[in-house]
Amino acid sequence: MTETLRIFVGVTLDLEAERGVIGKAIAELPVQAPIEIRRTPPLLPTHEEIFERIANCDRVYFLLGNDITAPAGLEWETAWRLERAVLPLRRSPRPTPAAQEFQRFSPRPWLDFRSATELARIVSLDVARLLQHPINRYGLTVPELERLEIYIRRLDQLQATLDKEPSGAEGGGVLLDSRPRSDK
Amino acid sequence: MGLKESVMQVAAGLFVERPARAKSLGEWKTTLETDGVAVDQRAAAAQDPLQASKVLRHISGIERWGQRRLKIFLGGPATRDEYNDYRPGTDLTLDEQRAFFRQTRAETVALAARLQTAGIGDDAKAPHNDFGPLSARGWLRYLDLHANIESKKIR
Repeated sequence: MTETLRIFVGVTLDLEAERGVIGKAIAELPVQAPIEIRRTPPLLPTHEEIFERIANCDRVYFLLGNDITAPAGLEWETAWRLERAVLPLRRSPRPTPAAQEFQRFSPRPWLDFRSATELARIVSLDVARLLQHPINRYGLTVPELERLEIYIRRLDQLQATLDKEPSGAEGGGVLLDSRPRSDK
Repeated sequence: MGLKESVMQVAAGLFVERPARAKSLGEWKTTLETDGVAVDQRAAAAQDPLQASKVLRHISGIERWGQRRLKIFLGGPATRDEYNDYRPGTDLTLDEQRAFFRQTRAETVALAARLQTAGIGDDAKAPHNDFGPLSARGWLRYLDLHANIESKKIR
């Protein structure tokens, strides 16, 4: 029996636009998989509604921005209490004291992303790996599994390349040459 | 009543009793049948049979424990025992744990049918060790929810 991969996305208010990034990243996967993306109802959600949406999810993406805002805190708490598989993601360059305090209590390390592209890559790779279930829980066809494998390899290579790239001052183009100069 | 008991009873109202009222006993019976198949199929496609066996053992244990509480509504003796002794053996293979779960779920479904026939209303309660007194629909919702949530741990 083919299962649906159920994903819950919880975000703080300043990262609300990132929901679209996640949706697009999943839509662009090279397979037609049964995936359901959930969120808390936008207007005055009750604890009960949040509970119902998170309770039987396979994956929870939690995106923390500069401040922890309602109902994200409750989503976070509910997901961990229900022992869901939470991936804590963070783009928090100027965290408020509340956000700093909140970050400290994560049971899993935060995964930082600096741009929408980077977030899309993290989520795409993660969902692709979930879909690549050894017993094929999500009912992919053989060609789809092959496409998924190629897709994962490509994203892995891209990530490896990016990991090697210098960042910050290292990439600023400042060259320090210690060789003695002939024009002295 | 202590603070913990008060909090748990509020939680029971929010997450168990209120959603339980959304379905009749007959509808809970159908839901339990359908969701039972899904839980079993998830276990069948487990990438780690040992981990799946552990999860199923826990689910079946809670469900058999809950069945004792459901029987209170049908005239069975009141009890407040723990769930540990209701679990199947640790030495069962995944296939055997699945068979045990299927049998357990079938018994829960049969109990739901008996509760429906007996016309048990929400005024009747049987105690849950943490959530306090639950109605028959509350118990069925609890057992369904518990199995659904736990089964997601099967990878």
